[in-house]
Amino acid sequence: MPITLPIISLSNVTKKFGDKVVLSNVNMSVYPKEIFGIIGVSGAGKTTLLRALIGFYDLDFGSIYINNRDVSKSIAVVKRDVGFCTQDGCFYERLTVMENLVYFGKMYGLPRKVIEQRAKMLLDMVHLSGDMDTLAKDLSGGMKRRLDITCALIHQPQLLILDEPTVGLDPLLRSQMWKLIHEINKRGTTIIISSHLLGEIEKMCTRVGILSDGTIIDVGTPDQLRAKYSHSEEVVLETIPGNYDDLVNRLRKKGGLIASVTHREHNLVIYTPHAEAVLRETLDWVDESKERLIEVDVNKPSLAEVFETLMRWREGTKYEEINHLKFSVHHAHRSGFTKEQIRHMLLKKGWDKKTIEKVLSELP
Amino acid sequence: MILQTIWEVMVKNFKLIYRTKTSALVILLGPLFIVGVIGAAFSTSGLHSITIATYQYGPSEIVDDLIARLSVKDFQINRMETLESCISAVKRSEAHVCIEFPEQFDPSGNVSNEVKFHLDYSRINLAMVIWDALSQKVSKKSAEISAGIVQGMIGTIREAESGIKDSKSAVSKLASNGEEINETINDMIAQLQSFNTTSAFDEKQALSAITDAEGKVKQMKTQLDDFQLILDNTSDSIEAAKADSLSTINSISAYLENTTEVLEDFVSAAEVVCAVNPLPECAYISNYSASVESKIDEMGFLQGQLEDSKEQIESIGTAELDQADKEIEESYILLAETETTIGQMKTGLAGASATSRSLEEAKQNATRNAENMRDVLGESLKQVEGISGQLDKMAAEIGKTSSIESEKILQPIKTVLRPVTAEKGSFDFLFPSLLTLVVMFVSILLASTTVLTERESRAYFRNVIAPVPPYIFALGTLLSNLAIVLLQSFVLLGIASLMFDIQVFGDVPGLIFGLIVVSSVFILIGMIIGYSFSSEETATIASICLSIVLFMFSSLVLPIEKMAKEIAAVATASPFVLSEGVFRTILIFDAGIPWMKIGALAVFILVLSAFVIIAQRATLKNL
Repeated sequence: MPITLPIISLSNVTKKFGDKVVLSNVNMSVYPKEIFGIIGVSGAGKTTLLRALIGFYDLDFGSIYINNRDVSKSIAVVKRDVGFCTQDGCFYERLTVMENLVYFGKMYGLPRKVIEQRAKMLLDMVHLSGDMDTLAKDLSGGMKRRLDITCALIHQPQLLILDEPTVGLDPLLRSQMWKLIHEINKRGTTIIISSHLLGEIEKMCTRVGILSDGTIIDVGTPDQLRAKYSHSEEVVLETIPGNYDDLVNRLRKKGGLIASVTHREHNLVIYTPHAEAVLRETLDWVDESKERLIEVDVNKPSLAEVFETLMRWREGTKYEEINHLKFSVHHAHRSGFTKEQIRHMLLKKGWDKKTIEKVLSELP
Repeated sequence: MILQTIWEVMVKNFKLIYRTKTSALVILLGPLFIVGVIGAAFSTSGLHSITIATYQYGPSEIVDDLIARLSVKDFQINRMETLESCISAVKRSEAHVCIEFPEQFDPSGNVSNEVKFHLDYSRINLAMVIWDALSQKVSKKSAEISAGIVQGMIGTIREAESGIKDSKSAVSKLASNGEEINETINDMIAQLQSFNTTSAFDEKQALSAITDAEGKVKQMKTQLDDFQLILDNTSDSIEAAKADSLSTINSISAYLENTTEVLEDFVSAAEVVCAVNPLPECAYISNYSASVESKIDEMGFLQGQLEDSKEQIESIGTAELDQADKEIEESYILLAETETTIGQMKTGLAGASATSRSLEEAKQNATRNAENMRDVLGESLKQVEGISGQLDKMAAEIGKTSSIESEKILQPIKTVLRPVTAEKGSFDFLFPSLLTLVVMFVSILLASTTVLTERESRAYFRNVIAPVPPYIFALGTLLSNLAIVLLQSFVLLGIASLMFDIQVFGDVPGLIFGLIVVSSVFILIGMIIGYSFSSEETATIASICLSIVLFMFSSLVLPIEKMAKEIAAVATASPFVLSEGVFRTILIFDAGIPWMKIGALAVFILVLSAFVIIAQRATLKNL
């Protein structure tokens, strides 16, 4: 079996803005023809990571290789291999669709004939052929996103980076957008995509990286992640009128059936390690009560749940770590160490200044 | 490849501006509006609606004449009853200026003829214009009065000259009288010689000879009297002519000295002004100063001439006249002695007892006396000849002085006070400043707006991640802005040429070159502002503030020379002042490209380009 080399390889990538560490020791690889999703809460460093991939920032530490080329040393060559789309349309509103494509094509040094040929092909793909001469400002929201992707693809990059491509779109347009992304991927383009819509990422991405506090805490396929971080299944129930309290009490009385319960719109979602028993009890409850069953479904837990679990775990770990730190600091202080000495020791151990100062401020 | 990319950036910028209809309209209609309004307002060289309040202490024909001149066409005159009301009229804005005429306005007298202008200096530009216009009118009248005075002085010298000429004819008459006396003496000596005292004594003959000699002595006495009289008259008239000439020459000399000082002040002031502010006019001021200096030399020469004349006139001969007078006195004494001797001879002869020896002695005495008298007279005649020669010199010197034209003494500067350009309306002179102003405002505002619009555009990010060096985008922005500013400038120049007949296309290559350099400087400034501010509003405010600062620190509002010396030196090197100088030289003086100023602007372009690149890099980090 041939060994596939990654198209992108990140090694200990660290980026600070002032004292704030935005990316910390990020390590990951993306392979050709993948759709790689990056998920993370707002402020986790998704956009910074994506921009760092195209050499937009000078790294404080670490390296990024694209097609085996160091981005920091071959930026001009690397830029030709990458297309980038932000959540905003990166094109000129007062130029027509075709003028935008010609202009950005020229920025990549393409001859006009080649641009026109590619534009025609791409516009067919994104269903904008009929709007070549329309000013970009007159396009609808979905059309603008498609034009943006077309602009990013005009120089035929091997890698397309999409930063929150579906944000702000209605469900229909989101669906169209994902189809388009899939279509582009099918034509051989590797795609890295960031989004906070975990359901979509779960459906479309071959692998997912979870970013938290500037660090990739895990990478894997959605199934791998679900298996790793969740040992329960979810039972989704919808009834009318939907008085689920009796059911929840009934299940709790049985003991050990419910891991957790949550509501998703009009549905009740029950996480359980014993899905069959919960399903039986639920159907009994529907028979006995005046509820009319609309839908009941048993699923593996979603990526969203995995993500939430991971985040809670991260927060808990962090909370525990800080508590432990506080204890150690108070102990050291009582033992006669000055604040300055403690600060010096903690800095040496790699704690960030903000946390150190916060802990030190609590000392008497 | 790079050029093609720059071209694409430019085309994109043009399309973006063209697609904003209002921008296109502003580019074309903006200059039309500016030139139309300003041209219509300033395409005249005169002053209108200027009200002048005047106050005079008493009736004066000269003041009346002056006021009549002021009211002929430009100004409305209000005569005020009191000085206070005159000044109040200015304070209340009922009059633009109050002119106070002196109490005893007599330009020919020795009083101070100071005409005071009370102006509202809070409206300094108007004050300057009014002061300039009124000064011209008053100076004209003042020059006429001065011309009369100088003409009178020249008249006095001419009178002295004619007095000298009269003296000269008297001296000639004196010489001919002296010659006649000389002849009489010679006759008398001849007669005395012919009188034989040793041989046969003929009493009748002796008596007749003695009587003849006596007659000759009387004749000589009369002639000497006449000679003395003419001598006295000549001496008096020479003294009078001398005094008149010297006094007038002194006055003219003092006048010339003052005028020389004024001219020298002007030249040194012009040198100082041009050292502080090397305006394009300085080349002309320098020529003008050279011309004034040559006039100063000419006046120095004139003064030298006058000094020579003065010395010559002062040295003229009262000593010779006195000497001649003394010698005449001696002649009188000798004549009296001769008369006495002849009387003795006559007495001796009458007593018939005189011996031939005593007669001979008497004869010898009379002959010696007559010969001495002839010698003395000869000396006197020589003195008279000397006086005659000196009178010729004096007449020549005075003649030289009186031949000087009064205009030459009065207004030596008149020959150099020629405008360096053809007479034009205010708009012609204002046009280079207007062009600079339009280029500055349009360039700074357009460039800052273009850069900020680009920065705020989402497409900016796509440009940044394209494999194109950032300076290409900066260069593309500079060139597209430059093309637009040039287009607008040509619209402005075309309108000015067609509507107001301003000669703008005398040196088209020079003008285009100047426009490119000047516009580049201001566009780069605008680009720095665009890269330095993060919102269009603040960038626009910054652009306007900077433009106003550049505008204020130029000669458009107040002359740079009125600023503090250090600030004036900085202001002189400001892009606006340099640019205005470039356009002034090319458009008004038609004197080619001012390379010094262009060089200074080129330095600005280099420095500003470096700042643009730095500012652009800073914005990329903050994207």
